[in-house]
Amino acid sequence: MINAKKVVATVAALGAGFAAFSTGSVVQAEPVSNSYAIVGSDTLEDVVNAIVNGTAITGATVRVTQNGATLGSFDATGTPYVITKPGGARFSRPNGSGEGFNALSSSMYEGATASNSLFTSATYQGVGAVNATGNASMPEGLKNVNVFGQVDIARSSSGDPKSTPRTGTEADATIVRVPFARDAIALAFTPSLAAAVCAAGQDGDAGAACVPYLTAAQLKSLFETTDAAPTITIGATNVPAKGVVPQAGSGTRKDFLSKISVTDGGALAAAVTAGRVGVGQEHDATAAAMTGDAVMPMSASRWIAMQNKASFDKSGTAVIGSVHTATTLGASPVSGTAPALTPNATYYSDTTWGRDVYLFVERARIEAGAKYDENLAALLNPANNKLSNAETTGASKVGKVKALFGFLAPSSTSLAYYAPAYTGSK
Amino acid sequence: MSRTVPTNVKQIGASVAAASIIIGVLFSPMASSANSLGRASVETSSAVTVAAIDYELDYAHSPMPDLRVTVSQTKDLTSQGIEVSWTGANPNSTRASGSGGSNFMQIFQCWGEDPNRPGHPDRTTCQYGTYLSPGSSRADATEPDKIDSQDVKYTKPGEGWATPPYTSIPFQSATGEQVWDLKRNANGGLDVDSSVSMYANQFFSKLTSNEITWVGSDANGNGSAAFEVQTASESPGLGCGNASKVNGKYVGQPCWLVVLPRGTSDNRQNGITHSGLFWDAWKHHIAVKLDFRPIGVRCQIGVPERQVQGSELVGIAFASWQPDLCGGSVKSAFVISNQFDGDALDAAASDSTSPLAITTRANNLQSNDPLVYAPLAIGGISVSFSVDRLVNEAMNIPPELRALNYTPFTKMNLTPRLLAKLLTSSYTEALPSGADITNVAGNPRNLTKDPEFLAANADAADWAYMDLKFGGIADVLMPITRSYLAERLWSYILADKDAKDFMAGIPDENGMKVNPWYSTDATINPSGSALTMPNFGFPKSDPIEKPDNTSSSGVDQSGAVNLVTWRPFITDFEAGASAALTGTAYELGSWEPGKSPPGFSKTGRSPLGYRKVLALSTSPAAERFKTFQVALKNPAGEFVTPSLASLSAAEKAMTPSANNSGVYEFDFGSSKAMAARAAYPLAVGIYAAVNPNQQDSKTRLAYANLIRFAVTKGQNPGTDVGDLPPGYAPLNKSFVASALKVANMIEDGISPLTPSFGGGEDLIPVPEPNENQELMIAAGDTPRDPTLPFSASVMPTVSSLFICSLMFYAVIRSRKPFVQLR
Repeated sequence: MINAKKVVATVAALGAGFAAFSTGSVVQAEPVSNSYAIVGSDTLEDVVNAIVNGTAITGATVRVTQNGATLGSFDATGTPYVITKPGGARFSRPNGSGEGFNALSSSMYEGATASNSLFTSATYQGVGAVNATGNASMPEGLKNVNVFGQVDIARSSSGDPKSTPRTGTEADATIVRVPFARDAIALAFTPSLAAAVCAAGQDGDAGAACVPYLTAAQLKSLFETTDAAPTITIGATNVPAKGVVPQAGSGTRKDFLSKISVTDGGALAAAVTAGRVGVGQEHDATAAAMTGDAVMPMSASRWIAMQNKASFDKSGTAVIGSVHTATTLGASPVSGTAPALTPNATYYSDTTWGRDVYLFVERARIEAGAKYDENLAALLNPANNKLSNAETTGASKVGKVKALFGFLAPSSTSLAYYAPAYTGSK
Repeated sequence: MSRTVPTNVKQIGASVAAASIIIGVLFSPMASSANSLGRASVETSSAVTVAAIDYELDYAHSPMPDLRVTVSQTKDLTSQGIEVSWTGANPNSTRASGSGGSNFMQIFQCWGEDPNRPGHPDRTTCQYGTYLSPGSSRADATEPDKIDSQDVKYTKPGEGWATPPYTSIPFQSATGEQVWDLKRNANGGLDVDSSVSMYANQFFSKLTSNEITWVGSDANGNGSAAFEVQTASESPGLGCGNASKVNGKYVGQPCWLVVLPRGTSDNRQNGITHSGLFWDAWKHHIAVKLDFRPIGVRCQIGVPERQVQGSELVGIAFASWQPDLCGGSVKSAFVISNQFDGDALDAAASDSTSPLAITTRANNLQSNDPLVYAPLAIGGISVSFSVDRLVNEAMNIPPELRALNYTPFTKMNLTPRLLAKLLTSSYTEALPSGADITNVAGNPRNLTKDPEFLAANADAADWAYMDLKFGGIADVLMPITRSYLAERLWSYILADKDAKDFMAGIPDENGMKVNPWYSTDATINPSGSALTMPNFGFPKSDPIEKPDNTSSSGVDQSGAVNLVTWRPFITDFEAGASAALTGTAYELGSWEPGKSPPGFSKTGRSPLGYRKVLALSTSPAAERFKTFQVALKNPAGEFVTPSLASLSAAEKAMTPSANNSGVYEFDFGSSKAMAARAAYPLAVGIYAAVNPNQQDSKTRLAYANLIRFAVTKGQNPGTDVGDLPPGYAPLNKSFVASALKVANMIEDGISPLTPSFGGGEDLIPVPEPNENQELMIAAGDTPRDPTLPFSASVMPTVSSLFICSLMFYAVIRSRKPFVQLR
């Protein structure tokens, strides 16, 4: 919806001026939504932006509106804060799946400011010194903001961004997870590392192209390294390499770390503090950390969308590679060549590295009852050609747009239930 | 239809040996063949093997048609560990975060039989679903076209896409209650009851459940797991072992062990994402019936209860002996309470009737000790461990070791100094993260990073390739109780020059220093006084604290953490073996500011493949809970694990203790001990002690007959009722003779302090071969049953002691996961 490059430039230009947070005069970069506001995952932002802002990528114009009203989908990064609704509160921009889930949780509870505030002591993106987990301490001015009603849907690349699963009948099972699509986690290598990994023998492509692959165990070692000059051991070769982890709160970070059995904290935090593991914005292969011999997790869908120019291309010179499993056998997560890259269904079907991605929404608003919101329910019903649609035949289908952004249909269409991250009484 | 066949034990042994040879000598064998090394005597006479083809309810669609499951013990079960192993499973086991993974097993316990399918458990009686991870819950929202007809009765139908059908498998407890979040309404439909939790309720939660939600197989489709069997004491909802009378005889309520193979998809989903109790997954279960000893029933017929108190080391033997003690000449039900041996001996030294004391050493100087000591068996203090391999990928890993990643280590050597390091919070990870640890700065982070440890374990080269951090490998879990076993452990450490020097503050060869708060040198110890020795417990001496920083503005806020919060005590030695079996390291959880009041969360069990637990235990407890045991360096310089042979070897080298020649010990400095290459150094004699002057001749007779039983029929090593269980060694002939003579003294009321009691032929006996034994007591003409005046004033003391011991017993049986001092 907005030009990411331009926003980054604006932020950079403002520079030190932001530190004091006398930012009342800064122009709000994004328009407010006149119906529902969607925040959260970086992985899903481009495809959701395209769907709600309108796109002609399928050959026909596809735009999801509801009852004549347009939707607002807010990026994970950009200005340090957002205003989502007309006359709404200014609050810290939810960066990633976890913060999106937090924002939705806070948005559900009406009441005194103190009891449903967002981010009272949480992490914060934007300005100031970056700590070990890639965040800065939040200025007082952004704490304790009442965000009731400001967020309607949270995008999530993680099935369980805040670890609050419920079976569904509990009183606090107030958030429902709606399957959106299927993505896969791949790896983005800097060209030198890609060449070194392929040369050492871990090349998933028998032909001329180099498709570097690593195993989950190799990745675990790299992201928990205590070695000042980390290497990946491939056969008899020690390949120098540096792992780059997405920023804290990102769904890709949570998902990736759990797939390689690394705890977010402990050894990883120590490695980040010591500079042996870098931190970069997820899916940005041009991030400063991605220099030299570096590798970062990369959503396959984002890679496809960027290469197909459906998304702003932050792939830079990086090379897409894969994680070797008994299913993937190191094959590339993508097929074909840009601008007609498509998902490799085999890679996406891997039970570990393929992943369903979701939209989270307040349960009471889509189920029958006092809070039922007919428009919101219709928007999320997969039977409608709206947000959850997964039909890939027909240029007018939302599912077709998702396919061109590198997403397949979700593996399971079951709903699942969660408790909010904040219960309204912190 | 169903067929269970006893395992061919010989055949399994042979295949284990073959596997070891293939894997080679450099690395220890894999999990599935681990039994031959660390876990002794896995198969019992009640082992059972079941094949999928003979048992599954829908074999035609079996996810693992060649599966054969073996359960190591299925009879006389109590709270213990059993080994579940299998062949013919699918290889390529994977874990995943968005789904349950693929090609894995789930193992859990159920109590009831399906009335419609005899020979199969009823899924509504299973302890399952506490983790809520995909594929492991008890209830899930599903889709209308994906509900098996068998699940319809447990399903609340959907109303449109936003309110999908909800299938929830109720839990029917053995106590007659039902846990179900759906309730049948007047119209026959189902309503939600949101007051009921299917995963954390009065019967189970993830802190108590013994279910294994994921365990994989190796590249050949073989696998194994040690499973914690729970009785009604640990899981009242299952009620396993609850006693009831059948045909006039008490029997324990039987239960079921269920192994559920999960392939790549079930429940009509594309992956493993829904409950294993849903029919489409459940119909492939393999189950084995488990028979339990009746709980709380000591005797089938009414007999007098008699009290035994003291060292916990005897408990497992008594549990085995008790059924035989109900009849015969003993005719008593023994109620055992664990407490400090010293206190038990003080009580037993009284002239009025007291509980029989159990101890591992004498109380006082022989010249004024009214007690007589009868050896019952040889046992040992043990260090249980469960540490799973995690290779350091930054190193050049040999391929045969890479294949073993995530499998458990089966062998670990420790020296007295390494044990000292673990008991003194001297590794940096033993102290709270974020606290000021300058006292131990420069020390290795944990045991596996200590060059001394790697040198002691050089025969298993794989330790050097590990990347193990945090968990419970920077110290050992220690019991909060006082005991002579603890004193014995400290003596072992102080008898070793290197360890003694280390405790005094002299760094080891690599510069590692003792945490000064534990130093035995008062000039180094910041408290100004040396660590108390001998010590009957395991002090957490370091007053270190990570300060409360919840009011700071940083992102890493948490409350204060002291040493006991960071590394809590366990209740007793037996709890250490249980912790190792269940992979519970008692790591501090994360800070939860949302809790009221804010606090740290608890951590539960670590999944198989990620366990890092070291815990003090006893050799019988370690055998009962099927844990691996550490090989300790003995005075002859050999590393030895507790076993029948090594305990017996130590027994042979025992000499009379300094203060009482009737009580033997393994004297670390003696020439016999230093020559005993096969001896386990922490072997102890277990003694029953009482003052023969006690008035009640009936009680004395019962005690005497108990001793007679224990040292004769009770000395047969084995796993059947009445046997001496694994982890003990039987007494040699001279100890038996000694015990029988002490039994006579107790029956006859002959005090060892009786003046007329000296000289003569009928001596208190002396284990041969024994060069420095002196003969000291002889049976003289002391009158039988001296009638002493009954002293009423003694009664309150005795009864309060008795009540205390009962209360103590209740505390230790309540199975609080751990004890925290604040």
